[in-house]
Amino acid sequence: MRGLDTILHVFRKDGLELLRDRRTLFVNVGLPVLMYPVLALFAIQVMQLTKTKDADLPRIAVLDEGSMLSDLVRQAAVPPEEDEETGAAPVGDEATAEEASAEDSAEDSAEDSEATKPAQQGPRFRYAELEPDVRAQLASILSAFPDPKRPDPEAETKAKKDKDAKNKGPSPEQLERRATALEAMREHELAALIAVRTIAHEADSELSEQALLVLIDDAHRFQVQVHQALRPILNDYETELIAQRLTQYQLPSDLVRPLRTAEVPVATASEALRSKVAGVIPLLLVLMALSGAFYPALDLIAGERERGTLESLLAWPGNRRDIFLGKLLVVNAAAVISVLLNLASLGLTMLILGSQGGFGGEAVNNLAGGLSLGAGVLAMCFVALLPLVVTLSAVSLAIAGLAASFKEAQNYLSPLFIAVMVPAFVTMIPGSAPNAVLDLVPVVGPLLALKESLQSPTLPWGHVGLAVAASGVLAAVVVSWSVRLLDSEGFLYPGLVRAGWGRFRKWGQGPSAPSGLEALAVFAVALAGFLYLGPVFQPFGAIAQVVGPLVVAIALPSVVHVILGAYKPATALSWRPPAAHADWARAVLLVPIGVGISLGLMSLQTALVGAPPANSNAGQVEEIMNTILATGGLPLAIVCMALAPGICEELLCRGTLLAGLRRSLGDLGGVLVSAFLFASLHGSPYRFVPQLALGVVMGALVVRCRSVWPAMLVHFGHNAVVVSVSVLAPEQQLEFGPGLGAALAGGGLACSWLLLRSWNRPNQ
Amino acid sequence: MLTCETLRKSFYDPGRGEVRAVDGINLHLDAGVVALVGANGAGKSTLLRLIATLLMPDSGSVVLDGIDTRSNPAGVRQRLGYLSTTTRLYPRLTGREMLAYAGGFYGLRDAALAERIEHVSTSFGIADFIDQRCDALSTGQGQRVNLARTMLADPPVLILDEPTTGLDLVAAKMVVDAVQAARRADRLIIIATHVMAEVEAMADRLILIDKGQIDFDGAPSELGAGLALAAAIHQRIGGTGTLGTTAEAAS
Repeated sequence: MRGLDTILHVFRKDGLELLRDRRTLFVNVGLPVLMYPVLALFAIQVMQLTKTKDADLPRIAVLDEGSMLSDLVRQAAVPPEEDEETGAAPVGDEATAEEASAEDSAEDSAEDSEATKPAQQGPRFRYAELEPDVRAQLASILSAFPDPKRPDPEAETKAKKDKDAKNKGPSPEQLERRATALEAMREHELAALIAVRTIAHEADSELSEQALLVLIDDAHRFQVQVHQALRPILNDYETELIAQRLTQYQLPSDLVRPLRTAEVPVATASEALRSKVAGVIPLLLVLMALSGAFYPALDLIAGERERGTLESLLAWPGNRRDIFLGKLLVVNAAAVISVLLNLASLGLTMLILGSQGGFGGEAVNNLAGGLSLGAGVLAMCFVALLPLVVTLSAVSLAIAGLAASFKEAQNYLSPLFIAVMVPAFVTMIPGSAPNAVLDLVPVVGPLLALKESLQSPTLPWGHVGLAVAASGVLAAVVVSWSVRLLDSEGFLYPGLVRAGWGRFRKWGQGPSAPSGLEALAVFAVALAGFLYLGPVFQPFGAIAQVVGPLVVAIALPSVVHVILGAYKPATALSWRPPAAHADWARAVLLVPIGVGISLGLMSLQTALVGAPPANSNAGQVEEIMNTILATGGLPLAIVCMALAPGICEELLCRGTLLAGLRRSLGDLGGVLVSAFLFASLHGSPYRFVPQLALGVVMGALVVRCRSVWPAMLVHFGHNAVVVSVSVLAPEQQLEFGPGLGAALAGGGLACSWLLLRSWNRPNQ
Repeated sequence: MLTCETLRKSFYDPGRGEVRAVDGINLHLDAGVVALVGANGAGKSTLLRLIATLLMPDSGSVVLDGIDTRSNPAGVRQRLGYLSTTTRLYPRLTGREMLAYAGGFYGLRDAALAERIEHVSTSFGIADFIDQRCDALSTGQGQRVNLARTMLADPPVLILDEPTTGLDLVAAKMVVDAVQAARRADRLIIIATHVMAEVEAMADRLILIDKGQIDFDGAPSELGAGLALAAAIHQRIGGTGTLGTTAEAAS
C-alpha cells in the first residue's frame, strides 16, 4: 500500500470511528455548537436576576442637604421612581442613545447636547436621603477629620522621592478615625459620604474656598462604580464654583469652558464592536482548536493502545509514519471542524437573539454584524491558524502516545492548555499588535496576525505571511519529530520499555543519556530559578547580582541533573575535548562572525520594526556595570558579563538541552529548539532574533565537534567584544543601516555555514 | 523460511532491573506448525514480537524469506498474520469493516477484498454476525473475527501468541480446528501456548524457551505424550509441586 493510500485509508477508518464515538462527538460538535446558546441563555437569566437586585445599588450621601453639590449628586443618581419599576436600562439602548447624542452634538450646540443628555450616563447609584439625627451623627464623626489640604505639587514630588515618607503608614489616631467612620457608613449602608466645608480666606471673604471630604468604603463591592460616578460630579461641581466666582467678578462664566468637544464615532457600530472583540476571538479559536485536537488524539493513540488495537495495527504492512500522518489528518480535521462550528454557533446565536430582540436588540444586532466576517478575513483566519492547528494536533498525538494510559494522557491536558493559553493571552493585552519579531514567536505570531486581521481595515498580509511561515517551520519540526513516534517500541509497549515521564523511574540506574523531555524539565527548573533568584542576590552587591543567578540557577541544575541521573558528562553535557585541535581555531574564527551576525540582525531589525523602547531597568543595569568597572575595571566586567554567561548558559543550553533534544528530535530539531529556548531565556523580544541565530550557530558547532567547549569560547568571545566596545568606546554607534545590517547578518551566516560544513569533510 | 541469528533483546523492568528476554537465540523454521512453550516471562512473546517487527532486536537478526526485519519491516509484515492475547478488534467497527480495514493494508481492494471476506467469513463461521459492531460480539465470536482478520490476506506465516487464552472449551476447539485448517505445505504457523493438548494436536515441532534461550527443539513426541509431555516440560523449566513429582515418576 503506498503512502497516500495508507494515509487516506487510516483517515477514512479513524474518521468513521470518531463519528461513532459519543464522547468525541460531544467535545468536537456538541460543545462548540451548544456553548454560545447555553451561555446566552445563562446571561439572559443572570440579567433577569440582577434586574431585581437594583435595591442593592451603592448609596452615596451628601451631608449638606440642599447644597449645590447635593443637587448635582441627586441629579446623577437613579431617580427614586425608577426603583423596581423600570430597572436597569439595557446597555445597548444606552450605547445607542450615546451614539445618537454624540452625532447630534456635531451639528447642534454644546448646550443642546447637554440638554438632550440622559439623566445618568455613568455607573448607577442611589442618593441616600438621611434622617436629621443620622446626619448629625455622621457630621459629628466627620468633624474629627482635619480639613483637606490644598494640593502642593512640589511637596508631592518630594514625598515620592522620600522612601521613608512613602512607606510610613497612617497613625493610630488616623486609623481609629477611619474605623469609626467606616462603621457608621456601613451601619447606614453608605458606599460614599461627602461633607462640604468652607475655609474662610483671611483677607478676602470672597476668596473663601470649599474643601470636600469624600469618604469611600474601598471594600464595597461597587467601589469602582462609586469612584467612576463621583469623578464627573466633582468635576462639574468645581466648574460650577469657578463659574460662580467669575460671575461675581462680572466675568463671563464661559471662561472656564474654553473647549467644546464633540466626539463623533464614524465607524459603524458593528465595526467598532468587532474591533473590541478582536482580542477575544483568536483566544476562543485557539481554545477550540486545542480541545478539538486533544480529545480525538487521545482516542486515536492512547485509546487505541488501551483497547488493544494498536498492536494489530502496527503488525500490518503499512508504513508506520503514514499511519501516523493518517491519524494526524483526522485530528486536524476534527480541530478545524470544532473551530468552524464554534464560529458558526457564535454568529447564529447572535443573529437569532438579535432578530428576536429579546436580548438587548440593537446591541446584539451590532454584535452579530461585528462578528459576520468577510470571506477574505475568514480565509485569513484559516490560513493563519492552520499551521498552529497542525502543531497542536501533532503535539496532542505525541502527548497522548507518550502517556502509558488514557487516564495518564488526560492528566497532560492541563499543562498543555497552560502552555498554549499563556502566550495566547497576549491578544487580550490592549493595544497588542504584531511586529516582525512577535510574528516569529509560536502561538503569539499567528494570533496577533489574526487579531490585526479583525481590527485593521486592510488585511495584514506581511504579518500573516511571516507568522504562517514561522508557524509552518515549527509545525514541520514538530510533525517530523512526532511522526517517528510510532517507530518507537516505547510508544507501543509503554509497560515494557517505559516512555515519557516513566523514564524518570529509571533514574540513577545508569541509562546512557537523558531524553529531550528530561532536558526540558531541567531547563524549566533553570528558568524558574533564574526568574525568582535574581532578587535574592541583590543585597550581595553588583558582582553577585550578575554572576550568582548564572551559577546557581543556570549552571547548577545541569550539574545536579548529571549527578542525580548518574550520567556521563560527555553524553549528557557534551563536556569533553573537541574532536580535533582545529576546532578551536574555527571557534576563534566564529567569534567575529558571531558579533557580525548579532549586530547585523539587530540593525536590520531596528530598521524594520523600529528601535527597542527604553528599558525600565536601564538605570539599574548601568549602575551595576559602573560598580563592576569601579571594582575591577574591564577585566572584571569581562569575567562577569562574558566568562560567566559563556560557561553557565552554554552548559545549560548547548550542554543539557541540546544533548537531550538531539536524542529526541534529531540534530536539526535539537539545534533549532535549543536555540529557540536559549533566545527565550534572555526574555527580550528585541534580542530574540539575533540570539536565535547565534544559538543555531553555536548549536551546530557543538553537533559538529561533539563538544560544548568551543561553543563556550564563541559565547565568551562574542560577549567580551561587545562589553569591551561598550566600555572602551561608549560613544561608538553599534548600529548600521538596513543594507549593511543585512550584509553583515547574511555574510556572517554564510561564513558560519561554510565553516561548519567544512568540518563534515573526511579526515578533518 | 524464517531464520533468527544470535537474536538478543533486553528491556528494563522496574521489579527485576535489566531483563534479557531473548538471549542469543539461533533458529531456523520451515513450513509446518511450530509450538513455542515456556513459563510466563520466558521470552516467547518477545521472540514472536521480534519476528512480527513490533520490536527490533538489540543485536542479531530475523530474516523471513530473505527479507531482514531491520531493513524492510513492512515487507516482512506483508508476509505475516499476527494474533496475540492483547490484540483486539475495533469496538466501533463492524466485523466486515474491521476485515476491510485490515485487508486494505495488505493491498486487498474491491472484488478481491469482498472475495476474501466472503471466504474467511465462511471458513470461520462468522457470516451471521459479520455486520454487527465488534463491541456487541461475545468473546468467542470476537476471537473468530480476530482469526479471520489474521488469515484474511492468506499470509505465508502465521504467528499466534496464546490464541486460546480466555476462551471457553468450544471457542478454543474452534481455534484449534482453524489452525489445523490453515495448515498448508508452504505455510509456517508459530503458536505460543501453555496447553499441551494443543501442542500434541497441532505441532510438528516443539521449541521450549527458558530464560530467553532455547532449552529444547524437536518433535513433541521426543519428550513424551499426554501427561508425560507436560511433566517433562515442567521438569525442564525447573517446576516443582505435583506436576514435578509426576515428572519424576514419568521419567
